[in-house]
Amino acid sequence: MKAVCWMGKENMQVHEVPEPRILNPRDAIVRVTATCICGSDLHLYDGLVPTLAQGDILGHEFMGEVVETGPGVDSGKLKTGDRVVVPFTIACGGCGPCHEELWSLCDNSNPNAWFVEKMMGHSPSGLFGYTHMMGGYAGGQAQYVRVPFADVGPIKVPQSLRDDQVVFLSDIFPTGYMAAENCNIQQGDTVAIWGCGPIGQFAIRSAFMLGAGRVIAIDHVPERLQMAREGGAETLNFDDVNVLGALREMTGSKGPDACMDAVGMEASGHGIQYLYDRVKQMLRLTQDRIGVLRECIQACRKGGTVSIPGVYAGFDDKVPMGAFMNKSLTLRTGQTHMMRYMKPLLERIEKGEIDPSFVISHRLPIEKAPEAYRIFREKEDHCTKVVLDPWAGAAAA
Amino acid sequence: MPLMLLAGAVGAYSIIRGKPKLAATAALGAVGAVAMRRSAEKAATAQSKPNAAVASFVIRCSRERAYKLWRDFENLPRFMPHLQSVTRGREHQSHWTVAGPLGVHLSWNAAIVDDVQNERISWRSLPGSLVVNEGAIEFRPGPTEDSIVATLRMQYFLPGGAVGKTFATLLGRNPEFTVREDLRRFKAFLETGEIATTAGQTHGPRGIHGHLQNILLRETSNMPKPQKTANVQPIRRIA
Repeated sequence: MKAVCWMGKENMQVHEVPEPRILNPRDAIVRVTATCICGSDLHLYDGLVPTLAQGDILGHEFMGEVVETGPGVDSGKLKTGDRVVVPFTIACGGCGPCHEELWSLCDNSNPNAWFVEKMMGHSPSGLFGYTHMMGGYAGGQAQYVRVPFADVGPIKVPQSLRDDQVVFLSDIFPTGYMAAENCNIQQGDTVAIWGCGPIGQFAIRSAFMLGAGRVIAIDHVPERLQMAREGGAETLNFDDVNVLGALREMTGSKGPDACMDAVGMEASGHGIQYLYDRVKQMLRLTQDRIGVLRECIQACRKGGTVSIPGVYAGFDDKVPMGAFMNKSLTLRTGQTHMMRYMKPLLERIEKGEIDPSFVISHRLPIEKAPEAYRIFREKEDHCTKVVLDPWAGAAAA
Repeated sequence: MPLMLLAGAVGAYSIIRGKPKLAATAALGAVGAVAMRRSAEKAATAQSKPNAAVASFVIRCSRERAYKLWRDFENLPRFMPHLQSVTRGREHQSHWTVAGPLGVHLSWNAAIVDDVQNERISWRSLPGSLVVNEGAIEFRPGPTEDSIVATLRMQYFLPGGAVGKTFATLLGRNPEFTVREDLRRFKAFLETGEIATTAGQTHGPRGIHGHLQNILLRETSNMPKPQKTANVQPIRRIA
């Protein structure tokens, strides 16, 4: 089968690889019909997250049809022929965190838990198509994928909805929604969102769903700012204005009630602190550029909330802890607890409250994946979101 | 010896491929291997020291289930992959076999010395065993109604003392690591009925970088074997 493999920094290749097979009793094999490139895949593309191995198949936003199930899969929940969206976090359904619906913190799905424990104290759940410290599971930018604990995560979707409309239930829609939920929005609140990529876009729309009165979105890519305005947000271009000053002015010096960092470890920016992070990252002295996080803390109103859906990987310095402590801020973050959100958000899609396909800018065959990674990283050709078709051009059997 | 071979192989490769830095590292590795063999010979004569290790996990299950799974020692290789087998013997005795370093198999007999139903089991190797060891598992009530805290203690006197430990470490089998991973797998097995793995999954061409990462992350030594026993041939699925 065809699969998108990480062969080194900025080196993605499409290879013919063996088809996945059932390894454990609760595995299923899914024939992938739509698969996406996520902004967090770009951190891998740029070689900034440790423990990726040459030959790894990436991809954690995918959906398809179940073609095989292991003997341990509960057939009442999942069977061959089901059309499913697969969440990017892998959860066992049996441990303490799963029982508390903290699905992305599953105790049992990361076979390399010992390694990440050394770095972080505890291990989060395994992830598809990510680093080996997150399990090293082969991902879904491929024609077939193996899905462990298949009767826990995948959600069945009705035939009446197109792949385009539901595939983002695999990550970015729930992730944007949880990020908005983490903002602790009270009716009429002002929420500032840094980053108008796909997560930011869903966060803008989710913030309004949760009662925000006003969303201020920050980016510098014109078409993304335009998309944010279409979602109802006011926008700031950080190339043109001083973001902290503008936010102060727009909120009567109060500051936004919640600030969201939907950018993460590769923040762009200006000035001395940006250069400092950039150089340190280049020298591998730090994994993350935290410029946006600093701005979030600085901008947030006293007693407000900072929500981080953006991916961070390592140990970062120059975090303004003084501001954080003295302003009594609350910080909420985490990989998305997918199964809490997939069903209610599917219902919103079915009711026509939102059509997530608005975010798609490119639909490409899987062979074009290397080019797609490049233009997505460079934000060329108005690239906001790429959906790959693993079967384009394949002869029907 | 295999280390020296490995170092030699890497050295030869790097010279062929014109990578002087790697060649120098490999040469250092070869020297290291010789030094280690020397110290191994020395240490073999010294008295062996015990390696004690303890690990503890919260498990979402009843004490009855956990006790029952452990009490039947024949189950242990399911989550202690370095154990080749444990078979029941007379009365409270059992016969243990491990795949030791360099393909050497070690086996010994053990006997249960303490057994309180649903609470604790401890066992000890019988006098005259090559691998002198003792272990104990204890189940206490957990932080929630539906959970327990399991604590596993093991003590080994590895053959050759420090040398044994060095080899065990090289193979990813030092006692602290092993005991923790064993108990982690026990927990996974109780909570989900299987132990997560990626051993044997599909991937693209690995190259040197990919293989090296697999070794550094102990995926070659610590990754559980797939547990679906039926040997299904991969079939070309209908598109």
